[in-house]
This record gives sequence, structure tokens and C-alpha cells, in this order.
Amino acid sequence: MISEIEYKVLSILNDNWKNLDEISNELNIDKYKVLRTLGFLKEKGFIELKEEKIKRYELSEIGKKYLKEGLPERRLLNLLKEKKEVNLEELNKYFDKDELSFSLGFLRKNGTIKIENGKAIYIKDIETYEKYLENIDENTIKLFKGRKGIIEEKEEIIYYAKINDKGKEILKNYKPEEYIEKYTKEIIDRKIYKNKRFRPYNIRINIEEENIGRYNPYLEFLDKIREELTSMGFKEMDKYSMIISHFWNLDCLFIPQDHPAGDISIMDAFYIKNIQYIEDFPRDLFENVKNTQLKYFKIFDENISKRTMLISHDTAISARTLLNAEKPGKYFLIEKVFRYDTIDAKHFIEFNQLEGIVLDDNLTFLDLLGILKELVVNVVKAKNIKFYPAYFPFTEPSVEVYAEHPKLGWIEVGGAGVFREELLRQFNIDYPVLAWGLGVDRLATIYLNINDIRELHTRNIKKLQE
Amino acid sequence: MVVLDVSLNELYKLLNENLSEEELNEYLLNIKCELDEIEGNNAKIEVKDFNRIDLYSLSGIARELKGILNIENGIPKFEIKDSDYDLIVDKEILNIRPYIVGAVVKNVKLNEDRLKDLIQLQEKISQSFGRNRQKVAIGTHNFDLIKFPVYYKLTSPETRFIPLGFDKELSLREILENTEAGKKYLYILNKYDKYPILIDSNNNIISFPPIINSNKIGRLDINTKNIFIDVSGTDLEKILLALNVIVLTLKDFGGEVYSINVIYPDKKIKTPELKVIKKEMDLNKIKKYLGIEIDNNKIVEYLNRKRMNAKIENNKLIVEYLNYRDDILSEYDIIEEILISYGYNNLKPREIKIYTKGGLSNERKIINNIRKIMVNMECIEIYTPILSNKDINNLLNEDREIIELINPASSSYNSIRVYLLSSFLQLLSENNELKFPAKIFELNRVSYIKNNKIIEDLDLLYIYSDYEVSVNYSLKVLKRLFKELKIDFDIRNSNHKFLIDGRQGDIFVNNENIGWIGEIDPNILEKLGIKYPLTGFEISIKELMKYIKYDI
Repeated sequence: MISEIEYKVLSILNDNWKNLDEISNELNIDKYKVLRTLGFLKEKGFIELKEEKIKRYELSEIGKKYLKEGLPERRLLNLLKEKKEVNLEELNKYFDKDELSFSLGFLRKNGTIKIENGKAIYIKDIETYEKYLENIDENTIKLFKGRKGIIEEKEEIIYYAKINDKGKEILKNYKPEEYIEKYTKEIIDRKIYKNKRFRPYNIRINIEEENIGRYNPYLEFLDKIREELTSMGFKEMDKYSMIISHFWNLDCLFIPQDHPAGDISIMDAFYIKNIQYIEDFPRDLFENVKNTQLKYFKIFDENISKRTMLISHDTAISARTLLNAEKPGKYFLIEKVFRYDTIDAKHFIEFNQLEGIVLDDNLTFLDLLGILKELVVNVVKAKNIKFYPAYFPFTEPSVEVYAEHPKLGWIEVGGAGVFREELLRQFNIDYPVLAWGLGVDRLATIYLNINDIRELHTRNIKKLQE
Repeated sequence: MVVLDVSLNELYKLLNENLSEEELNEYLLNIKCELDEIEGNNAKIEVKDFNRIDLYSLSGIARELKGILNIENGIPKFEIKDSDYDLIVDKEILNIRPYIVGAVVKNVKLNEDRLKDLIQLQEKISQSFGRNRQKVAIGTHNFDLIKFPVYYKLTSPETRFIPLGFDKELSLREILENTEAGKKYLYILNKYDKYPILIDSNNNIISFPPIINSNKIGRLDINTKNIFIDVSGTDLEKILLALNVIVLTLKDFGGEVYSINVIYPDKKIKTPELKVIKKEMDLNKIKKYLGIEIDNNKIVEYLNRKRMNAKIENNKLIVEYLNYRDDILSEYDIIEEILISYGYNNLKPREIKIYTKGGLSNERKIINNIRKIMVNMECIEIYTPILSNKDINNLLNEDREIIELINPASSSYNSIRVYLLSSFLQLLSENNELKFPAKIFELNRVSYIKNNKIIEDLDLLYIYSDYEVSVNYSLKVLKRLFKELKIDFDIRNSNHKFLIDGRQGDIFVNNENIGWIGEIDPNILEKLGIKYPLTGFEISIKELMKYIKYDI
């Protein structure tokens, strides 16, 4: 099939080569459109197309100026004709150096002026070559090729086309009047489609794609995990806050206040400058925690406990959830935590954690391993799992979870344990609570196929748009 | 995190067994250690349990591995001989650094690796467990050069001796001011006008605790056989524990341990107090929460392999262990020891059968609903960090106080954004790429201080950009959003400094101001090198939530 413009082009081609200019002029269609059409026709096999490279001369900017104002020798001669004689120095004012020296030489050689005592003196008029600039031909090239910057050599491609047999065949069968071009409301209203066919399009034409609305891919990934967790019967915790007391973040989790930072990464936290103390805890719980700390660690500073900080791990929110959790109960949370760190491709100071707790009588470590296994299957999408002993201040027994990822092999995916009795007693809980945390950012980089963890946050909007 | 540098040859010598790299890694993981890297004979081993300072040495790791590998079981053998070496504590020092304990270990067989390990052990204990020598500082000295009794007392800052690694005498004051160790640990002593020293009966200074040893007595080399150890600090239980760990290591290096008498003004104690601790545990509770069915004698066997002795009497589990560890608080600690010994990977994970109804929080449901509406309006969702640059925050901030961090990791992230717009502008100023037309949104957290109270909010930001923009593009989206949420709103004139005058407004719901709408002032954009015309709105979702029904 051919389009209307293809038909037009094809119909003026014959067995002799015709060039692009001729075709364009004949059809009164822009050259670039004709050329594109010739490309299509060639591809469809209806025409022969060849190109010839030719050299061509045209006037430079200076050349065009000379055509308008006269060559410098003409202008000099006119000046001398009028003044009869002029000091050479004075001439410098009217001409540039190169122009002047050429013109003086040229006029002297032709005997039309002479130079004496530093003066140019008029003798007679002669013809100069302006008229050769009007149309560039062999004479122009002969006269001006040696002179600097008046004519320029250009290379040009000239396209020639002629129709072939296949083209003639298609042309014979083309009946433009039978086609509907635009699909409009009128076509429907007047039932034009009953008598005419729609012209086929080139539906493989290259056009820009439609804009799209899109969820952030990383948040979409987190949403998918949330979906998995809710389908496993976990309820989302609703007590998150990013600004939190030292009490919630660390003290109530059986972590001694004087523990040096560096041993446990959750202590590499950010502290708030403007409001340095906060009381976001119930008083009776505070007393319980204070007593526990004094009993086991022998020190407890109430002011340290009230320090305002950015949450450094979501276990703090698990602890808050213990305040009025149901039994049996399963809770989870995916939220932002903040840690002081150097910022590079592997570390960023903000990231999300997947955190969960399970509460019931008679739960054991084996139940915890069961949950972890289910999580690894559903969230990490790994079949095999390995467990190793671990240390966390707030759990006993504690476990580190490794999963065999289909792409990366064995990777550490998280930590878990049974909350310490000493910790639970502070909340007046006397049954086991299983707790676990998985690093979702690492999984997200695998899922999203990125190498730099900083790219989980948007760094280039255009990339998301495309 | 404690990372040790160890010699594998020496480790295997202590174990009496060679392990492949794979085996070693596997076994280390089972004692809460991890093989970080191996280079020839040297390995870096990370010790994850910071309650187990006994694992900070080759001999400690070997001791624990021997149990796991079934090479040696139960409480490690030890013997302490009495001696008449006295360490006399002066009354004056009790106000500054009140506790000191010590021991003598003779006939230690050192070599390069063991010496390095001993020094590493001291350093790691005093760093982490010892709170940078504040609570615990350890000194090891050449016993043969010391004349007992030894005195622990205060002295003038002008007292002079040659500190370890120097060739001339320095005063204590000079040591604190001019040496590396002095400057590092000055903080422990800087409020006092007299400093502690350990000095022998020949008036030779042994050390300046907790700063530095003397160059002669306090220098060990591979030929040193007989060693005097002192541990000083502010917490008696901690320094006793540290001493136990050190003497056990030296015992494993072939030494014979002798106690010394530490004579305080009001009491006399014999140290080290290395001894067997006996604890009664509730066997029923252990069995209940262990989760696996195992015989009593198996329980005993598993504990033996964790270097404990155990027996069962009248439903009680009597556990005995040596006090180089102090981390056994309750039945759960014993449960963990049994499970580790049994092997975590031999356990059969149990499928949990508790029925609970899962679900997202109400907040999340609303967030997701709004996000869905925005995406349906062909918007692209972005996700930017909550921390942002304070200067950019300041360009937008009017009546809120910006929350700043005391210890920011970078000036790009030294405050919390007051508006999502701060983060958006920061993003564009860092990466100026946008495709026209751009419809962008973010629903995320902001926080600020108002009336001296910290406010945490969720905001929705919408931004439109194209060759030509007008506030109408924002208004269209805002109207559709509120229509979908079935909430009425109105817009009143405003004069925010970051929006163009006369082309901006505040958004009100029920007479409450919940956000702004307008065209962003190009003067603000210019400051950030942003070359796109922008219009948008930002509203508080927490405010909006009051009017959204939860049954979405």
C-alpha cells in the first residue's frame, strides 16, 4: 500500500533519473518531505534511488558583500577617479590592509593608476569583474579561486530517482478517490465508511509515547511487601514517629546508656538541636525501665533518656506497640530510620526497615524460624534459608537470617529473636514476643536492578518520566 | 563492632586441628563471630557479641570452638596458686579511680603472634567494654623487674618516669599534654590535680594508669616469661571480669596463674576471682520454650559443648560456668546455649498457626488512596529524603522553626524539611533534568517546630512544569483531588515569599489552613539554579484525614 504523498511522488517519476529539486518543484512539496517519501518508496521497492556527490562553488559572506558594494579595486578606482590623487596613508582609512594592497597592485599592473611620492595617482578607468559574481560559472572560478575568501567550495548530495516495474504496477492499481483519509465524526454521521475504504497507515511509524502516571518504583516495591505481610495476617503498626526519645529508641530495649557507639549501629543516631529533650513515654513504663537499667547496668540518667533523636531502628516502634498490643497478635511496619554514616554507593543515612512482632502464649524459637522462613519465601523470593546465632541486646535467643537469592547466592537478610524477658517485664508482658527485622533496601536494589543505594530516593525525575 | 586480627597458625595450634576456610567460617558463625577476610596466615574476625569479651583473643575463640567441635567439653580447666604478692591501695586514690585488681602469671610461652594477640586483647577490652579505659584499663608488666609489694596511689603531676616507647623521662603532666596516649585519655583525669601511679618497693614506677606503662617494666617481648597484670577502673565487677579473661588467655599460652592480695584501706581481696558460677534454672520453663523434644542428658551434653557443666536435680537445671562470662541472666540465655549447640540449622522451623486478621493502618489506606488518585491524573511519584539542606529550607520557611541536627552527616542533610517543596527544589538543584510537560507528586513526611512543639506531618506536594505554566494547572488537579475525596475547600489570598505575588493562595478546609497553592517565584529558583517554570500546591494530609472516612 502507498500513501497519498507516495502516490503523488510516484506518479511524476518515469524511466529517466529525475533529481530531488525537479520533483520538489514539480509537485510544489517541501524537499525534506519528498526526500522522506523517496526513502519510504525505496524501502517498499517501488523506485530506484541513487545519490551523487558534487562540488559546487558559492559566494562567501564577503563575496556577497562585494557583489553589493563592488570589489575593493572598483571602490578604490572610483575614489581616485574623483580625487585624482590621494596619500597612501589616507587610503588606509577607507580600506582594510589586505584589500588595499591587492587593489593597488591590481590597478597598477593594469596601468590605470601609478604611485609616486607616497601618493596614488589616477590615470584611467578600466572594467572590473563584479559581473562575474552575479552567476558563478567557470570564469568566476578562474578569476576568484586565487583570491582569499570570496568564493567557497561546497559538497552537495544530489538525489535521483526513477520508477521501476513494481512501482508502475502499484501506480496502476492506486485509486485515491476510494479512500477515507481522516476518521472523523462526520464519517460516522454520514455513514461514509459504507462506500469507501480507510486509507491504511504505516502503523510502525516512529512517534513519541504517551505520558504516564506512575508510582515510585521503590515505594511500589515496599507496597508489595506490605501486601505480602497483610496477607500473612500481620497488622500494620500505627505508632511510628521519626522524632523520638532516647528512651524509646534505646533504653526500653535493654541497651545500657553508657554503651559506646560503634559497637551497635543503632547507636549511630542523629540528635535534634532545637528541642533537646522530649517526654513521649508513659511515666510508669519509664519507672520500670529505669529500675531495669539500674538493676542490670547500674547506671541510668533520666536526662539521657529524654534526649530527642531521629529514630535509628524500627524496633523502637515494636516496643511502643507492646504498650497495647493484642494477644495473639502479629504486627509489622515498614518505615524510615536514620543513621549517621558516610554517604556512598553502599550507605545512605536514611533507609527503610521491615520490622515485625508476634505475640502469643507458648511461642518458641521454632515458631520464629517458621515465620522467618515464610517471610523469606514471600518477601525475599528465596527458597533456601540458613540460620546462625546472633547477638542483639534486646533478644535471646537471637538469630541472623541468610537466604539463597536466585541471583546473588547467600545473602544476609535480617536478624530476629525472642524479646528478652527482662525487656518484656517492663511492659508487664509475661508471655513470649517474637521479633524480627529485615533489611528491605538491599532487596529493593536487587529488585529494581540498581547498584547505588542512594538511587532508591529519586535522583533524576526525567528517568522516572521515561 | 570488634574486629580482631589473628594468626590462623596460632589458632589451629591452640585447637590442635586445622580447618579449611569454609569450615572455619561456618564454625565461627556458630559462635557469633564472622570471618571478614583471610590473607595468608592472617585473618580478620569480627566478634558480634559485645557481652563476650573472652572472645577478643585467639585463645578465647579456640576455647569456644573446641566445645562446638567437641574437642574439649565443659568448664575449662584452671588452677590458681596463692602467693604473698601484695598490691597496696592508698586511701587517697579511692576518690579518683577507686578499683584495682591484679594477678601474676609465670612461665608464659609467648611468641610474636601470641604477644600481638595479648596486646590486642587488652586494647579491645578497654576500648569497648572498658568505655575507652574510663571503666577498665589493663596493664601487663615484666614481673621479674618488680619488687613487691606494689603501691597504687596518687602522685604529683610533676612526677617523672620514662613512658613506654620513649627514651627520656617525662612528667605525668607532660605525658598527658604531649603524648598520643596522653591526649587520647586525658579526659579521664583532667579534672584532678593528682594522678594515679603504680609503683614498686624499689620506687620504680610501673605504670601511669589508665594512660601508659613504663618503658622498662611495662614492656613485654617474646622472651618475657613472668607477667604481672593490673586492671584498674571504676567498676569492680567489670575489672574482675577483664582480669579473668586475661589470665585465662595467659594460662592457655602455657602460664601458671598466681593470685595476689589487693589490700584496700578497709578490706583485703585476693584476685583474680576466677571461679565457677552455679545457677539454678527452671527446667520446665526451659523445656517449654526450647521448642524441641530432647532428653535431659542431651541438654547436659549440649551445655557441655558450650563450655558449661550441668546437672538435673528435682526439676531444676543446675548450670555451672566459669566467670569469664557474665551474660547468663535467665532461662532464655540457657535456651540459646542449648539451641546453638544443637545447631540452628538442625532445627525444624514450625509453621505458625495463630489466626490474626492482617491489614494496613488507616493512615496507610488514606495515603494509598491519595497516591492512587494522583497517579490516575498521570502524575509521576517521586520519593525524596526527609533530611534536607537548611539553607534551602530557609528559602521557603516563614512561621515554622526548622528542626536541625546536632551531628549532621553532610550539609545537604542537616535539617528536616519544613515542606516537601524543599526536598523537591534540592533535588532539581542537584539534578536539573525534567521532561515537559512534567506532573510530579510526593506524599511524604515533613516536620517542624511550632509554638515550641514538634509537629510531624504528612504532606502532599504537586508540581507542574512546562514551557508555559499557570496556577490553573495546579488548581485543576487540586479540584479533582478534593472532588474524589468528597471534601469541600476554598482558597484565600496569601502572600508566601516563595510564591509569585497575586498568583498564590492558601487552601482552607473547614476554616483551617491546610496548605498553599501558586506559582513558584523565579527569584527563588534562580538562587538554586533551576530553570523551569513551576506551579504547584502542598497540603497537610494529617489535617485532611480528619475529614476522610476510614472505610476506603
